[in-house]
Parts: sequence; structure tokens; C-alpha cells
Amino acid sequence: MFEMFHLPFMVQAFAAAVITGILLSYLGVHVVGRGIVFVDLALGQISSLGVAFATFIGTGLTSIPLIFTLSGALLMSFINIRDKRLKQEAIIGILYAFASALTVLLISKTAHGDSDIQEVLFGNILSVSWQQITSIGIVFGAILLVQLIFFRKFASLTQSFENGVNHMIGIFNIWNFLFYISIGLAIVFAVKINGVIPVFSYLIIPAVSAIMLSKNKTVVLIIAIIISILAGFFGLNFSFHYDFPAGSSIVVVLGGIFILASVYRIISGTVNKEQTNHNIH
Amino acid sequence: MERIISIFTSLLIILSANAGSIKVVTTTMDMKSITEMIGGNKVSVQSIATGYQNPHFVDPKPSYIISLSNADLFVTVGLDLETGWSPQLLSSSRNSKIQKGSTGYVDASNGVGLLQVPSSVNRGEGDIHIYGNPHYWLDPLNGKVIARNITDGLERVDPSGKAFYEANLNAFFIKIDLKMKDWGAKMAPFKGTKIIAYHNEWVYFERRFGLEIIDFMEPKPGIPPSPSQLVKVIKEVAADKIKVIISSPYFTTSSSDVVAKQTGVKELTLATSVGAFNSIKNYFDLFDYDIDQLIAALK
Repeated sequence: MFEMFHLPFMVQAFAAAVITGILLSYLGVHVVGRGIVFVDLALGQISSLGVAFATFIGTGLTSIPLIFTLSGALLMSFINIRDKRLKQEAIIGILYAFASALTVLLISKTAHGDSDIQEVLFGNILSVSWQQITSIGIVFGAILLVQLIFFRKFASLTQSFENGVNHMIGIFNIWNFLFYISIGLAIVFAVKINGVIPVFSYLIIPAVSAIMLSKNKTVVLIIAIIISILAGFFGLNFSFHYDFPAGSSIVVVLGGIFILASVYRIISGTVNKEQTNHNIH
Repeated sequence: MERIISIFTSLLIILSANAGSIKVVTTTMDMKSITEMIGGNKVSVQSIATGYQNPHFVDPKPSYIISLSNADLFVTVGLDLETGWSPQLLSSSRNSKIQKGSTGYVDASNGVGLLQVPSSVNRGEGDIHIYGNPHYWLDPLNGKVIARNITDGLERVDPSGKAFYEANLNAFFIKIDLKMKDWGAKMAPFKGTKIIAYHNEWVYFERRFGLEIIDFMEPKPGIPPSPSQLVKVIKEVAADKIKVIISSPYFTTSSSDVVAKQTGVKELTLATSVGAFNSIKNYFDLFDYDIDQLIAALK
């Protein structure tokens, strides 16, 4: 089970998986609580749009995607809907579709722009360098630190979304803005290493599975982080032993964990029901 | 007992030394095929990309890095065919023997007369391949240059086998020349025939066999056919009485289907690499297959 750690590139892949997993699964609990699971795909797509734009004008391949993503995050933090028939998710979905289409248009005027986009969409965790790991370690560590110091601020904000009283927070709320900047930064860096689909999975699956397993908020956070680390370990093991692409292996393991959590939820649900029935009789 | 074991292990070492002790990893099947012809039973060769895969895009797996870390020789098509994946895999392998510039690194494109080398690097104009078109192995005479580069590499990592490799290289040259006569004769009646291709990977093949590719389904390399490009191609097919559109196994035929339905032009999926179809076992089969298919379609 630990043979893969004899190979330096697998150790690097695991280090990168753990760092991204911890931050994303933590942020994921907020994302799921706010009901904005599309945020990752939308910001990922805006980042691709940045790559397409940079390729088109022929410069700024690293800075422009970052600027685009952070502007997108800023824009999203302003979304404040009072009309109950509309959900924030719908607006984010529109941003996703709009950015995708713009990307396609830009690529169509840029020869082989698709190869750069491919690189952004399908990051390769197997060839991540220690230098990259250090840089995401610093960025993600800083984000996590801010999140932990102001834990209560962010938690109560998410709470307001869960309770549907989010329109009370006003047009500009510094914590809401900081939250979106955290998400934006995390996604730009994580996608470069892991690819869009693994990042989406790391963000959503541990959070959803953990919510199914516990009602306590702190426990949910801890379970989500544990799930992300387990998925990184078993996913890379699976990839290593059966020779599959690493990113997709991690996603498949996350999916498996989700199914297990669902089964547990269903079984414990029926047990609880039976007990209540029993008590009534 | 110990003696028997030591005799047995030394025997094993000798045996395994004979059964391809020089481990070679190539990026594509074509490089593998030529390496096997030069290295014979002294080498064991593994290709990373399969023959039916687009060599521009390969999804890395752990085994690629593991075989690279054990390799004595690495053969790449070079230019920028594999830039998306092979440099990353090489550095992850941490095998100093096969890094760029080391004795175990072979860039098969060394000395190839390249076509479509852009004068100014402007990606917007479609000059994506900044070093020139990288599909040079589709000219059988470039196969000789590739074979020479591979032979040099093998001799660098295994100087004792020099005579053996040189003899195989000579045999390869003779066979290429013989086959080339045959292929040339087969294609001679179709000299100057105008065809349309999906992607710009046939320029070396076209040049060698006297075909004329007048347009591509892709308006620019890597960009899927747009409606205006389809209209243009349909007009060209009618105007120049084009008989065939050639494509590769990894491109979708949906847009050539549209042109075929409108005009009756034939669609032909040719092999761009060894292993693209089951019958293509080596570098010679590749041209046998493509030329037979083309002739059948053009008749």
C-alpha cells in the first residue's frame, strides 16, 4: 500500500493532493452551504477565458488568467438577490456558459490555442515539482490562515445563506468579498496542478459526504478534510497499481466515498425511522 | 547449493542481457518500430503513445514515469509534437541518463529537412509549430534520418554493439530504398492529384508522393471546421473534382461527412503512426497501408 512512496514523483503528487484537498474540502463546506456548487466550474472557465485571451494577444499567459479569475470572483461577490424566485446558482451558471462561449470564440481566432486551454483544464498532478508544491503551500496556507482567524465571520455568513437571509448582508460585504477571493485563488492554483474536474470533485464531494454523515458543523469540516486526504491517498494508489491517469482516479475514489456515505445515510435513516415507529407503538 | 544459485543467477543475467538489455522508451510507435529494427534483440522498446492516439495530447500515467526512470535511451520525435507532456514526464522520471543533452537522449528530428518553418512567430496567423511541421516521419526517406539518429544514440549508450547497429542500419536503408521504389511506382499515376486533408500533418507525405493538398478541413491547425470553411471546401471539391478527403484516426469525421453527403467525395482515414490499425505492425506497413488505401480511393 505504501510502495508508491518509494517513487519521488508519487510522493510529490501526494503532497500536492493533500494540500489542495485540505483547502478545497474546507472551502467546499461553505460552497455547498451557500448553494453555489457551480462557482468552481465558472471560475475555472473564466480562468480558461483568461488563457484564451492571453494567447490571443500573445502575452501575459500567467498574469491574465489570474486577473480574470479574481475579477470574476469579485463580480460574483456582488451578486445579491432579493427576488426569491431567482437563485444565485443560476447567475453563476450564466457566467459559466458566457465565459465558455467567449473562450470558444477566442480560440477560433487563435491557432492551436486549444493546446494551452488543454493544459489549463487537464493539469497533471504526476509531474508536479517541489517548487510548485511550495508555492501552492504558501498561497493555500495563507488562505487557510485567514479563514481560520476569521472562522466565525465566514461561518455566520454561510449560515445566512443556509437560512435564506443572505440579502441582509448588503451589496458590499468585506467577508463575502474575501470568501470569493479565497475561492478564486484556490481554484486558479489548484486547477493548474489537478485539472478542472478533480478540483470540482475535491470542492464538492467531501463536503456533501461529510454533511450526510454528521449534523455538527465542526465535525462536518473535520470529516470533509479527512475524506479529501483519504481520497488523495487511495486515488493515487489506485492510479499507481492499475496504471490509470491520476486525476481521474482520485475523482473515482471520491465518488466511491460519496456512494458509501449515501448508503450509510440511507441505512441509518431507516434504522432511525424504525426506532421512532417502535417508540410510538 | 550456493554455487548452483550463483551459477543460475549469472546464467539469468546473461540470458536477460541477450533478451534486450538496453531499455528504450520512445514517445511514439513509429520511433519504437525503427528502434526495434536497428536494435534487434539487444533492445527492449516501449512506446508511450499508442498508434491511434493524437501524439499532441497524451494523458500521463504512473507507468510512463516508471519506465522512463529505468530507461537507458529516450527517443522523441521532437520539434513541438510532444511539448504538452514529454518534458514534464522526463523531469518527473529524475533519470539523468535520458535528460535533454545527455547521452541517452535522442531527438529523432536532428538533420531532417523541415517544412513549413515559420518566418515570424505569430501564433495568431496559424504558425503554431514554431520549429516547423513535426509530422516528418510520414516521408519514408526521413525514416533514414530518424534511423541514423537512433543508431547514434544506441551506439552512445552501448558502444560495444556498434558493428551490430551499423549493420542493421544498412539493412534498414536498403529496405527503405527498395520499398520506396515500389511505393513511388504505385503512386506515379496519381502525381499531381488534388486532395483535401483534415489536419496539416500530411505535408511530408504529400511532397514525397507528388500529391497536392489544396485545403484543410480545419481553417487553422487545431481549430475545428467552421461553417464558412465547410462551404469553401464544398466549393473546392466541386471545382477541382476532388475525389478524396484524408483524415487521421483521432479526428471526428462528422464535418467531412457533411462534405461527403453534399458532394459524393470519399472520406479516407489514413494511418499516421504504426499501430493505428491492427494490420500496421511496423514502419514499412504504415506506408503500405496508406498507399494501398489511397490508390483504391483514387482509382
